[in-house]
Amino acid sequence: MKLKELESHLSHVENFSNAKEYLEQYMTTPHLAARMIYTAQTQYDDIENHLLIDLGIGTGMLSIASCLLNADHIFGFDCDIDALNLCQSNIKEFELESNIDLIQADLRRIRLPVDLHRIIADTVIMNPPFGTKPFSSSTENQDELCLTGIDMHFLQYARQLARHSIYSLHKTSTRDHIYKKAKDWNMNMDVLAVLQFDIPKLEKKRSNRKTSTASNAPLKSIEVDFIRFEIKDNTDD
Amino acid sequence: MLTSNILKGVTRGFPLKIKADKMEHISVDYNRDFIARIIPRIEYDALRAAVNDLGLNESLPEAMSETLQQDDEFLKTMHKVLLEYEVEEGELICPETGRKFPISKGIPNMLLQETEVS
Repeated sequence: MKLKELESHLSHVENFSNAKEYLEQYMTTPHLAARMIYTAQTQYDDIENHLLIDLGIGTGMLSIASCLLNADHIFGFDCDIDALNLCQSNIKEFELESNIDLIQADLRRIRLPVDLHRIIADTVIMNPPFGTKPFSSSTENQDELCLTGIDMHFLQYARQLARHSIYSLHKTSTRDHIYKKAKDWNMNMDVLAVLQFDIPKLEKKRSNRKTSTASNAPLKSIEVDFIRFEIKDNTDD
Repeated sequence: MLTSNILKGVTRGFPLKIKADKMEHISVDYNRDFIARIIPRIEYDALRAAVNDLGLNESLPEAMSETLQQDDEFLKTMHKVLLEYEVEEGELICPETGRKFPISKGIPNMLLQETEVS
């Protein structure tokens, strides 16, 4: 399938109608998702006939793109039931019910065993939340926030779940920090592209925070790296 | 069905038990190559336990040998068990603590309460 064709198919993925700001929910665009997955397959052969995990599956955009490029099977995780319902609806629309399984889990809470036998996916794909600074006010429920560094949390789980590679997005401003972590975690790291992202700006101390949606939140433009991590220590492969 | 099996592989060391209140039997096109690729990745014992828990009328051999992985009948049975049975409503149960994780609309809810986080 050609890139343009893939992007065209993905234009049918339905967006959030009430994106939750505090979870940093927004749809990965068909344009970006098509390029991410197309690159992963054509340059690295990481999609077709492989088992994938999508962390923070959201609308299902990345997973649907991967199935269209013949991934074997995908397990998608998200903490929000509304996102999962939307995802399920998108999966039905594309008739991919037997290709994508969904699990509701909060990656801020669940502990995954660091047990090599348990590594089950070839490739992990994700567009993680980037996190905001924690509120200074202690009355806010901190658990509901995507705190700074949450994308590193996602990356840590990805590292435990992937056999071969991880495709992810992280703020360019954190690149050096991520490079260090990648080294610590025995992974090669390649920045495949630098993008300009418009994400809904998460503002502090807004009383209507819970009810405001991404559609009326002001946009913030940030530089984002599209990164491929390769797992180094699989000596039995 | 695949979901509950990977969760059994992923969470802790002990497989979660599975209980169904509502199961669906769906028809999925058989893809031999896909099944042959997947089965070495499956926790076979956990899968057999799940088939047993659910009382499915499918017989799976005690062990999965190399030769068995090439056997068409076995592959077809694995296809049925992995893809054609869906637990729509039910539970995954931790054998250590008895903690139940509900399954709703085919989605297991693994969210932990504040008090459960160590």
